[in-house]
Amino acid sequence: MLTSKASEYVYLERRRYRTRRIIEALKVLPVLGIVLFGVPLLWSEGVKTSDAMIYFFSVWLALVFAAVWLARRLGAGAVEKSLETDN
Amino acid sequence: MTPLNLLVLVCLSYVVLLFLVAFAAERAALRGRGAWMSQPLVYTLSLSVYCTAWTFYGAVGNAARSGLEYLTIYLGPTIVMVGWWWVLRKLVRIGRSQRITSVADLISSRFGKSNLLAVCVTLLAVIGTTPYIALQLQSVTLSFAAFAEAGGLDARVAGSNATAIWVASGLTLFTIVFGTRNLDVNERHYGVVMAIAVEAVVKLCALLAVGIFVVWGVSGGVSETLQRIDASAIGTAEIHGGRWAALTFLSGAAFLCLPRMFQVLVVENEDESHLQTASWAFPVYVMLISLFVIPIAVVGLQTLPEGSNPDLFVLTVPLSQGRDGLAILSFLGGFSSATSMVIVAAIALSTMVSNHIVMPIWVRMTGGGASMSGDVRNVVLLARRLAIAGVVFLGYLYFSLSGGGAALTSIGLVSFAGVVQVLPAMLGGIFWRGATRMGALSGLLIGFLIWLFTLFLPSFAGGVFLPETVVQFGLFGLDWLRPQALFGFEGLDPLVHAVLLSMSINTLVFVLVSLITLPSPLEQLQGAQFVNVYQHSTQQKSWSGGVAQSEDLMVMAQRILGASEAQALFQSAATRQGVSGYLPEPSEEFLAELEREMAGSVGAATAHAMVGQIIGGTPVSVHDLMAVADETAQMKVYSSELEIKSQELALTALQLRNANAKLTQLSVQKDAFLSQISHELRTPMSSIRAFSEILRGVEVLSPQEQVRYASIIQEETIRLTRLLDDLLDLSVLENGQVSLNLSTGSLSDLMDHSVAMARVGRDAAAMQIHRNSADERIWLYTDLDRLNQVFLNLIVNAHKYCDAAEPKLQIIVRQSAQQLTIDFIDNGTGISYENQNLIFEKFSRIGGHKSGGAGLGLAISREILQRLQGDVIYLPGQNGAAFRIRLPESVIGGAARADMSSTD
Repeated sequence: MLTSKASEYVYLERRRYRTRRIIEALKVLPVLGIVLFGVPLLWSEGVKTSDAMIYFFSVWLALVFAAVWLARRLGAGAVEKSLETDN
Repeated sequence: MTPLNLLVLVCLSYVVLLFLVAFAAERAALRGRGAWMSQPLVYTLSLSVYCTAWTFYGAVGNAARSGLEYLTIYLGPTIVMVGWWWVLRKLVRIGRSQRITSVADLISSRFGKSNLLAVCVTLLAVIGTTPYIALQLQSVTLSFAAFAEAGGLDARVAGSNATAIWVASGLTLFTIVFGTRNLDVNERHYGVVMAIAVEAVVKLCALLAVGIFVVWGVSGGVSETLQRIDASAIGTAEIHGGRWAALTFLSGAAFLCLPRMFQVLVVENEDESHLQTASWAFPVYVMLISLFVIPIAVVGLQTLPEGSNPDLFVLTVPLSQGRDGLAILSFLGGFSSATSMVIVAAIALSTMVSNHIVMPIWVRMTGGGASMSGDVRNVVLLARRLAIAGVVFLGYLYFSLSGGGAALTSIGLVSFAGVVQVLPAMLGGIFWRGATRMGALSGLLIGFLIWLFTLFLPSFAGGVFLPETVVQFGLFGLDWLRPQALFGFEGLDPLVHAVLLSMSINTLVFVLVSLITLPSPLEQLQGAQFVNVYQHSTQQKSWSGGVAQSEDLMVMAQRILGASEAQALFQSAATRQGVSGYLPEPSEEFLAELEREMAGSVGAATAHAMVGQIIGGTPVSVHDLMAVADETAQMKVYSSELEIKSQELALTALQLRNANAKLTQLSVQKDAFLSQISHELRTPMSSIRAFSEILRGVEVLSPQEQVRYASIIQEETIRLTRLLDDLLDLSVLENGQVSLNLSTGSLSDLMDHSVAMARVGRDAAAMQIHRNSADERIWLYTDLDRLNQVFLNLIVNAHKYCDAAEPKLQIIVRQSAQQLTIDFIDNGTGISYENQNLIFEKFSRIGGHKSGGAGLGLAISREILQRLQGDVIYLPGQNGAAFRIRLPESVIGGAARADMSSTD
């Protein structure tokens, strides 16, 4: 009885820990987006448009996948859960 | 059938379809079967109202001119959506908990519900959006003309104002029908949202279809297309750092600030979790929208004759390839983009105009009294409808006056730069408690002016509003006031220049003025509610009306009754409830009153439904609201509560101390009494014992001696018996077991008897007793024996304790209407103040035990008088010990008889 309680507690703690890390990742994601979309500003002249397109759409796709993954990991009740982490 | 006629037919069918979709959605929502519409997908698709005809057609045009730069328009919103946790989530939560209806409402609510701010934001939004609506009308007209040209007709005929008028009228009709169908408290429009979602699918499909046709149909595959791109005029990616950054920022900011985006993002949001899905689904949508832009532009540039309008490549490429069906789909895509933008923008603007401009003016003009009659609801709806028509008409006017020239194509970004002036106030408002109304107002105005001067006015070619000389040499000939090099910032792209200057000065002024000005209490309250929105609301509660009902009621009542009436109503209710401020407890009385007031304006049924909608949830106390109040206010509440509590504690402590002192005193008295009584008992007992031993032990005793000893023993036993009788008497009196023996007698007889008894065994000359026999001629109906006991006790006490050289006792009888008082006043030293309260306590004896009493006399007297509905008190300040007996008037049984007997 005691051990099952303990394991449940640990499980909950871990989930909350995960949620917080996911929220942190969510916060970092736009910063990452700004940096990656800003990279072309450093390009010297003469990059082919097709290469640039491939770069942009790859970054774009990567951001989308990251967002999908994080949204899924966060789960449906995320907004309520977040109450503990928002101060 | 010519392509043009077919186009008109398809177009009309499409419009009918949209009407049907919207109508079905409204009906389903009305019947509570709208769950399938509350899908995150619908929400995401409705966000696509961001992609207007300007982006549908213009993105390709932009790509044909400047390569990849068109991407920035989508990258900004992508970053904002991906970073939803930062800003959007908070905006949506605030929008839901505060029932925000527009971006102007947000700003005004945050800064103390300032209508001036709301008016400023509304004007800015109207000025910024009107050219944009014109742009949509132009795009539809141009695309129509392109079809007419392909069909061999005169492009001028089809491209004339007639098309624009038809489109504008149709849009106005649709928006009025579905945008102002009802005056929903939540300001949601299911029909419109559904139609927008359908249009979103249509425009995405159209663009994808053209793109797929171009890549696989014309170019022959992906790799061939890429080669074609590199070989074209835009084959080299030239990225201008400044413009790139400015445009990305601008599009991201506009995504938040544009009235139509705020409408779909925040106001129409059904469920916060939809944002979670939209955070990736919307980026996917815009990515797909922008995927084929470059290929279409490149193919257009290569296959169409020199000088073709690149803005229409999406349409003209399929047309030139003979794909009429694809062209019609593409036209529908453009049409969808244009119409959805106009519809949502018109709804958003009409809400702002009617709520913040028309209604305040109307309320003021009608006298604004609480007694105003008429259906405010109808007035609001009429105002909205007129505002919608007005906004669309303004757009049309702009379009026809500007001639639909090339000047319009640049207006999209100009418009963006105008509306993002709201951004500092918006972000500052939701993240910074210190932001004030004055700060927001001054930042907004400064930013607006700079935008107007540096970007908006110069955007009109040919010096319509701003003479060429001003552009070249500056305002008033001042060099540093040149619109495109303000304060000497030269060499920048005009757009970058305007965005950089207006935004930075706007933000700077906003922050500085906020720092030096003080917010009003309402501003502070709103600021706390906005900035700390997560601590004070949870999702379900806020929308079912559980968190801040009084606040919600206030918001609603203000919309119906007008701000000042509603505030006066709430304040008076709060005052009646003893609550300070504007927010009374939502008690039943108050709700009924509010409902009545509102029923006078919108009808009883509506008022009841509206109040019920808000009060549906759990009751909320003002304490909850207080929790969100300013920290200083909280501190004040706490400290005043503490003060009250400490006062209470001090009072209680004082009472406890007094009680303790009395208990200690009584305990001392009891100890003293016990030692006294044991002494009193021991003295007679020891003499009884001594004399009885003598009588028994000594054989030879004279009869005289025997009699003397026996009488001593008898006296001592009498003393003992008297003591025990007193104790018994007191306990009987205290337990209320005594039965009164009521009889009639004269007071003077009673007093004679008492005096005589007191003098038994005493020297009659030892104390003079002064009496007034005339006053004593009163007949009493009471327990005469008990009363006699009291008199006797008082007279004996005077005998015992009066320490004057010539003791005197004065007995004064006074009769008034209510009572009979008898004062016993001697000429001794009296009783000290601290002992005055104690003398009536049991066992209390003043002045040691020389008198030999047990200290029960006064206690017994008081008990007796209380049984007789009277009282005995110590009368201070009479130059001696003075006791006053008070008897009720009822004991005066037979005054007439007393008179009669005295005359006998």
